[in-house]
Amino acid sequence: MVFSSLLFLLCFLPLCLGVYYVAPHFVKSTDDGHKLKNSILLVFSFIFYAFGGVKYLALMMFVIFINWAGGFSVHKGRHKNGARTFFLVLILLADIGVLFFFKYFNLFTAVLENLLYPELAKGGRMVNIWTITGNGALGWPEVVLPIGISFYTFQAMSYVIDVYKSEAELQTDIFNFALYISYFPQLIAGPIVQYRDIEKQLSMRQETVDRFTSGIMRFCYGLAKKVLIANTLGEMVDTIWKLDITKIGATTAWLGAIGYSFQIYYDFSGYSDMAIGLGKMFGFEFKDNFNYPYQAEGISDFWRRWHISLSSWFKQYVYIPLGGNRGSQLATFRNLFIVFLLTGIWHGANWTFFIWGLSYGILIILEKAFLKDFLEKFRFKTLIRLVTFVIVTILWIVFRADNILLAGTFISKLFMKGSEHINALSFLSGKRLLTLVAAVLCGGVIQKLPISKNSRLVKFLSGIFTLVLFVVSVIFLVNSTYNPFIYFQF
Amino acid sequence: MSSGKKRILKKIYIGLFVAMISLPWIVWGGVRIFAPDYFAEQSDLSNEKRNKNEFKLSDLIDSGEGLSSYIDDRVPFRGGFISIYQTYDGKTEKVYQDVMRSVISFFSGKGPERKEVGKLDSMFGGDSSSGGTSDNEPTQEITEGKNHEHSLYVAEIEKPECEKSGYILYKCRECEYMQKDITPPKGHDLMLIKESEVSYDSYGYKAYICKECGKFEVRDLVSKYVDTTYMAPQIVGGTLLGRDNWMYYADNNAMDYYTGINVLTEEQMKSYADKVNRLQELCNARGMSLVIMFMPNKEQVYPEYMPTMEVYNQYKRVQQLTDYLSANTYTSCLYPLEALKTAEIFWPVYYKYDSHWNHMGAFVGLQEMYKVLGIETTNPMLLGAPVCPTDRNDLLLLGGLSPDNYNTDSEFVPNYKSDIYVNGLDVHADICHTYSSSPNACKLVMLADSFREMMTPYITKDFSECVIAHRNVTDSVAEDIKNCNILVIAAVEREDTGLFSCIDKVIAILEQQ
Repeated sequence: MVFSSLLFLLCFLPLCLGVYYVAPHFVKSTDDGHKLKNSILLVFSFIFYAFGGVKYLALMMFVIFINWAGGFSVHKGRHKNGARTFFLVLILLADIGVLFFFKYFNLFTAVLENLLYPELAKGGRMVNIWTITGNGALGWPEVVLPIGISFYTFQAMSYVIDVYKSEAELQTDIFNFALYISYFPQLIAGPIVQYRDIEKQLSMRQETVDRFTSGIMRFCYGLAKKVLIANTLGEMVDTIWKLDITKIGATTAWLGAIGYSFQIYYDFSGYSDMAIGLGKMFGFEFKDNFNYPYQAEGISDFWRRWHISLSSWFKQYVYIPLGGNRGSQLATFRNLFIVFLLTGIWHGANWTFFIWGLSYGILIILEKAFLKDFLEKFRFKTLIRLVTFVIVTILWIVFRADNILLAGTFISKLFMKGSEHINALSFLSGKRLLTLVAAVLCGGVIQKLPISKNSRLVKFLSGIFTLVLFVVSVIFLVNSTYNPFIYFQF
Repeated sequence: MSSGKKRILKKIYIGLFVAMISLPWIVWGGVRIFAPDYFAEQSDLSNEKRNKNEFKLSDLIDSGEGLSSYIDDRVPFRGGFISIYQTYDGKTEKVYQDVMRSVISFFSGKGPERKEVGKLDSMFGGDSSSGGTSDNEPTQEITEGKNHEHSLYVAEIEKPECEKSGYILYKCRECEYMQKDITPPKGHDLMLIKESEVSYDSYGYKAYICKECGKFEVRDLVSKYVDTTYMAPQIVGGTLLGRDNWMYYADNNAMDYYTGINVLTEEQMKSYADKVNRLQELCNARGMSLVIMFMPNKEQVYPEYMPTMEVYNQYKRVQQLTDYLSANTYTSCLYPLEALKTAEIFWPVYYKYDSHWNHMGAFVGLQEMYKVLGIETTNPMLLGAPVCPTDRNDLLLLGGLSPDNYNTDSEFVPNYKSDIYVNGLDVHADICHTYSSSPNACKLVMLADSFREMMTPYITKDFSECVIAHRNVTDSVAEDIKNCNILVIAAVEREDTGLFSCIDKVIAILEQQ
């Protein structure tokens, strides 16, 4: 189920809110109803997840159980350090194993088939390997990626590592732990919540009018970002990507590339906003996942603003354990390179993600080695922002392409004249043009205007505005057939 | 403002939001009870040419998407939401179009003028402007005989015709000497039957018919003006708005067939050819003739009214597929695009506000089908075809556009074989089973989509028994398929995959004993 569906907005959400806030009034409890409320959220989260296929619910329950049980075996005081470390490695291997099996099995099969049976590779062995085209020689079935697996396995690992390092308390209540893993607002596409950040909220959180109000506003903004901007641009971008890329001209290629940059930002940040907003409605506080990434002044800055929860996870559980920046510069670069390579691989089983992560690793190392002082001192920050945006946009092409060969062709089209009669204007319409303008303005430009956000009038108008946005988004949803979430595939 | 007031305002805000997500269903239930007509109107999906999505509980095992689609189709006030969206979307696009035209005209230095394209060649073969006279000069043939003064008599006279030479054959009374005086062809005695001035809507030409032989000839053909100024593609509902209020069907990736980006792979075409070959074998075994026909999408025949859209591949999917099937099967495969483009010079062959071909288009397509079946064809120019207003406008409905804002469309309806009567004619029925007084004692079964409706009035006059059915009800006409003489399976270009699904069904039927 997606947040931006009428089923969620007009059925699931009101039902869940209703049961969550009304049921405790009818059941006596000593803990302010938290246990009941958590149980309600857990049931609704399972129902929410089951929409992606009931069969995958069992897998998630398996991950929940082994990590919850694993928490006891790595908890300090129960076992000797050697045994704790052994159990930690075992549990992490199980988590990573599950993730790798579902995420990379098809890639592994395709590569193996092309290596072992090159005579069956119609398009050429290397081409097939790069485009992940198997030949079916091994006869292994295709593995379907369960939705949200990358997110919830990372959350599970976060818990086990935190408990191992004594940075979080052992969660003895399996239902609370299950809620942490499966809590529906962040279950499918993040933000990736680290256990230490949510530990206390699971057992004692306060639902307040203020929090609920700000939750509604955040949710409505997120919904509008997704439905009004990302979906509109998505239709245009998909149309361009469906073309024969070898025949498109530079203007069309740039339109497709820039359109996708904004689409993926508004799609993912819209989802995160909705998740954060929903969390607030039930009394939870999640950390922000985006901070106007296209206002970044450099690649490092971009990654401080983009998918912050993933970057923080890798920083916390990979970069710092590897030594972070405490060693030599060379060691720091090595650590950065590993982190960004893993970031790319985390996104999926495609060489495009590998190259995408690799490119960022190299770019960040180059930036830190040669451009750090220049970027700090250079006066024309707008120019730096623009160059950063162009680099990010080009790398989004690698991210978006079905295979690395297609990505190369598309990037080459950005800088070639191409077929003269191809007209990027063909892909624009009034709605799409307005959306592009709105995408640019809402990506950090409007937010920088000198308007006092605390003034009564602004707050009042914001409240009205968010409700209007909600209605307009629903109207768009009723009319739209395009509504996928890009990050669901990860 | 005191914190108490702030708190009240926030509670009102929360109340509004909760009401917005929960009350619609309750209000909708009330509407259903107290205003059933309004409820039905708002819930109607007929404009979208589909039925409401249904779902089964068992589907939830694999995915909840079915339930999501089920809710989408029943969301409260759906019709109102769609209407609001389309109204404002239409207005936005109108402003955008005007602005972009001005901007592009300003930068290109040209006003949004229409320009005339070059003269088209005559589509009737040869140089139609020559008047059709023969270049043959009169000649004399002599057969040698005895060497004496011949006493000739006229043994045979063949009168010259319009394009054929005549002759007078002389024979000698005394020997075998023969002399043949060739009389040159007379040339056509042309009578102007139709004249059209070139405009944005019509070609310029003079159409003649020969008083002697009835040959049809076109002279002074000038293609119609084409608006080449920029026009952004705008889709309202599933309708693509074209120039001069022409409209095109744009749902279900229909435009991919126009832009040429969805060509089939060799493997796909081979798999289709295998199906056709299998069906042909089964038809051969029963002594049946088989025709496969793809009716062209409207935009292929009328690209001149399309907004600015890049065509990436001129050799498009269905043309490629038809060529492939023709080369790799023994079945007659037909894609009458050129015939329709030719006919379009003289009559509109598709409706302006509807996605289908009109009666004349269907008639022309039918003649192409008759050509491959070896059946005598009829030149529509030689038929009476009165112009009739039409209210066909599925694209207006699909786009949620009001017919009141558009001029009435018209079409030419061929007056075909009025002496033949047909029993059981119901062009809109899923299965139309007719018997006629046609001397052609053949049973024809045609499985097609909605494009069949305009063909039905004519095809039923050419066969003593016809079963014209929608391909969705193929199983219901299984017995007719098994015992027909001619089987036609047809589909509009954008439904080509549906045609092959239909072929699968027919194969299954014919494989039954």
